[in-house]
Amino acid sequence: MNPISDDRAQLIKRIFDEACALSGDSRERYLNESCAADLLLRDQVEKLLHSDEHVHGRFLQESTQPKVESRMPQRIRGFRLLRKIGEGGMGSVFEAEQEHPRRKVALKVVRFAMVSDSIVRRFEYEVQILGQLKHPGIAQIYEAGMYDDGAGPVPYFAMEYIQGRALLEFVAHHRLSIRQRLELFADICDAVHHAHQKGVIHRDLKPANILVEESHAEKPHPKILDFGVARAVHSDLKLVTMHTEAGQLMGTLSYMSPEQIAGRPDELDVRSDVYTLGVILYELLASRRPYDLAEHSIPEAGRMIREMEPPLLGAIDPVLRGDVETIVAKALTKEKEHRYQSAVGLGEDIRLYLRDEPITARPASATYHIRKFAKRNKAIVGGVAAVFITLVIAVIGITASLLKTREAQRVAIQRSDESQRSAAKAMAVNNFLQEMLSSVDPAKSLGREITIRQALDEAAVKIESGTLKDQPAIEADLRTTIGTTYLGLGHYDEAEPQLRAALDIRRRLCSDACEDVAVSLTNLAYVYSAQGRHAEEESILRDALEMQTRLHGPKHADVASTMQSLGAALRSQQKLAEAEPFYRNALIMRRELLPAEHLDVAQSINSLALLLQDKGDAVGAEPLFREALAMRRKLLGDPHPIVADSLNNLANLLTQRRKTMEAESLLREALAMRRKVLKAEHPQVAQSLNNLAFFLYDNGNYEGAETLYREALAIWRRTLPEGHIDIGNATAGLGLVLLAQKSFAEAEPLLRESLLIRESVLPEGHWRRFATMSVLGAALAGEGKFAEAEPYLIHGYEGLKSQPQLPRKYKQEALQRIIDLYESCNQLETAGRWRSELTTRQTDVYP
Amino acid sequence: MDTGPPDLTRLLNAVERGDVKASDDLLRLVYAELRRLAGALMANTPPGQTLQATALVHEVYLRLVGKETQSWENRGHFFFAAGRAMRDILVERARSAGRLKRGGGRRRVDFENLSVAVDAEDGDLLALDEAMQRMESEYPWEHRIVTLRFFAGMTNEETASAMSAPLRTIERDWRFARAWLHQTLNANDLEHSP
Repeated sequence: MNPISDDRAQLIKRIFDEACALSGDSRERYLNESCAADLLLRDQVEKLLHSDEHVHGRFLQESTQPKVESRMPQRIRGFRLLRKIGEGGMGSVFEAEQEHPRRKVALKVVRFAMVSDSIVRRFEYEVQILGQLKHPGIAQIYEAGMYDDGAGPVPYFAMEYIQGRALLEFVAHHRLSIRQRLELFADICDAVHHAHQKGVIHRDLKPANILVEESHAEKPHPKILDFGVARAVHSDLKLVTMHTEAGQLMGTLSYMSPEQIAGRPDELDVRSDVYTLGVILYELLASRRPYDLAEHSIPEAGRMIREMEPPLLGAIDPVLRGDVETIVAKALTKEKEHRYQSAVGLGEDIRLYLRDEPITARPASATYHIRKFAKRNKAIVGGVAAVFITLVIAVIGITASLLKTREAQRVAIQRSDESQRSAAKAMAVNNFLQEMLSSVDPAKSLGREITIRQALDEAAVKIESGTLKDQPAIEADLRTTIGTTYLGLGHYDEAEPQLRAALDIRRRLCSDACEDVAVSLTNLAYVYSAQGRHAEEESILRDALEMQTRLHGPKHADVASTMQSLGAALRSQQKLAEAEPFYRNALIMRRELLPAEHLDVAQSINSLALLLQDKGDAVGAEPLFREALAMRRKLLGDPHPIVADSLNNLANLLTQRRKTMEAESLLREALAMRRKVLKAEHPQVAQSLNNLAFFLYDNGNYEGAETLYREALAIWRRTLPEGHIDIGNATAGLGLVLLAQKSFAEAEPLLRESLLIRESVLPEGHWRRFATMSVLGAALAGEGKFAEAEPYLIHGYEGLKSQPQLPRKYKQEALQRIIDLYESCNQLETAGRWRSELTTRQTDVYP
Repeated sequence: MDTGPPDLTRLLNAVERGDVKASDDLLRLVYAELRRLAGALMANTPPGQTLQATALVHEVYLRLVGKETQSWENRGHFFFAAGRAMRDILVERARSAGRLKRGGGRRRVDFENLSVAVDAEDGDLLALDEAMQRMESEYPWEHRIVTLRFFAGMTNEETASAMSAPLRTIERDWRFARAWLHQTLNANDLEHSP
């Protein structure tokens, strides 16, 4: 057959596609029409349609994709192979019959051959140990060895053949109660513990590797497969290459402990299996795994396991609140020192719970919660939280016995040796906090955050009473700790006096430039920033910058950070031109001092982009936002609050640049991400709602915009102080939406509130002030209050007109409102005069 | 572990820019890796091991591209090259095994200790290969879809992402491609029958 021309081919294709959508008579009519007298064309299309109808369901489908396979052998060593029962990343499993003694076995053949003599020797050694594992909960390994398939030695294992269902399938099939699940799980812990005592770690525990025998009707009987196989086969953790499909790997990844993910085989011990047992218990109870890894790349998934806190079980099912939740959380602790130290420890705690006796695990401690809180709020808390977290962990970590040594410390403090003094100082601070934190009974307080709050308040009172008057350095350290803790919790008003007092003390103690004074300065600046006191923030940061430059020279990470903050303080005051060099210098310095991809670099890029956007350089800002987003995604993974910030920033810019499709999807992604990682009432969730609302408004969806604005406003009113600029923005947005829907009377008070806030917060001459005036004028005009409306409309428009960086659209809308006003009160001549301005200004070039 | 040449991303980017030489280089690279991997499997395959050719393609992707995140376009280029290479390897093996016996639905070719099973109902690998060659000149777009869908084992969704086309378009064109191949394979059978 000769090839046909391109046009002809496309014609055939087009007619085929159309005809496919039709049937019966209408298809026939269509073919008559489109092929007309071209009989060959008609024939070709019809043949294809015929093929389409008669094509075998499996033709070219997945199941028929070419396969590469090798034949199943009849026998291996003393085993007769009956059928293949499974296939996994490591190899295949066969049902087989052993000849001597005659019994049924599961024969596992490992896919990849042993490559070196040393690995073969090691394998043999491991096999010996595996033979010693004898426990009713572990599938017995009868024999293991190598056989030669002609191309080299291939390892195999002959194991007890178990008739049963995999764990999760079993509990679902028999609808086991929570109690029954826990009983079953405690038995699994016993079996794992037995192996641990023999020095064998499983390393590849997962529900699929645990079968439950059906024959034991009254009491289900778990059997763990493949104990020690992973270790015997792999010399290290190059497990990844053993898997053909990423999906399979993800399945395995979900059960790996943080230390296993980190690729430190030497750190694996029984507690790594304890972690994995925790994951299995979690899944057994909640029917989902602690982390949702499905949507993530492998490195992202790894990062999630190493860094993210899984949702507490009680958050998934309230029935699981309390002890069960506590037990699982303890098993899943990232640091293995804080997990159960053995599988039997975990199992015992479960049995204590089942007998209604007190369990050994402590309910999620204040530490845990603060850590979680700080993690969730990383975007706000930033570095301060990191300092705080380490401190609290250190404090909690110190055992009660330390308290008894206070007397000894007091002696130590009196010694003159500097290093001893600082050690003693740290100890004293720790003890003070320890005492404070342990003095509050978590069981008696309502929420865990309150616990810490109470401890802090008590600490603050105690310190005010002057117990540390004669030890000013310790007092300053303590006040700093208390202050930054308040800061971490978002209690800025309480943080300020502590940090201010610490600064004053340290200044008194320091004669020239001191590191701790600089730290105090930046801490205090952070509070001012959070309170919106940017002028004070600026002045204190300038002091800090000066001191840091004297301490470290002009090129230093701290100097860069302070420059960055100073840029932000200036930008918040709309001093854009002044802010730019600080931002640029911070970025240059960070690029020089830090790795190419670093969160601080991303922060600097992001800030510079925001500044450019403020200055009206949207084109310049876009690539920077994209770079920051990509870097943060790569470093932090999804979902993450900082990634959500970046999504949001880029989305806002794209909205401005009218790239609406991409903008909307980014806005929605940001909102979903924030809802996932932040509290429902978090101000940043409101920020996302607000942004999406504006987007919808901008695209004419007023109803949708109204709902979202109201939601955002409600959150902000509850969480922000009165008169906060965000409230001013949301009221303006809601007012605008109501205006568009002609609810003028409802819009008016909102717009007045917005104007009031904007006039008190934004600098003189800021375009948003004028925009609000114009919109308020329009609302008043809509209500028929023409005289009141006129000055707002005109003043607002004149103000906007004088801003060269603003899009013409804003100015024209304001102008149109004036025209509408005069037209509605029938002053057509005046309206006409304004209208002439509309036409003349239309020739303006878009800035 | 062989992590592959570090400049694969650059190569994929070059293909994205339309660099013909880069396309050739990519194809050669993927082909070599697929062969190597298939060879290693052959040497060390335990009994009864089945591996879909497309799983092999994904394994090669993991080996060559590894953990680097690639754009969908780049993934598309990679899998297209891999699909082509897979087709070549399968055909080459079918040829080396001698003439295929005709008749019967499922045809099996044994060579060395490995077998290739193809379940192309009305045709065998060689006929399919011939039809694909014709499709490439008449319907290059659909040819690309078949390569990604069938020879590289991508889903419709993945194919749509890789080709930057709406899913609906891919589904429609895949339907056409199947009908066309089916019709072509049947026609060839008739032509070749004695």
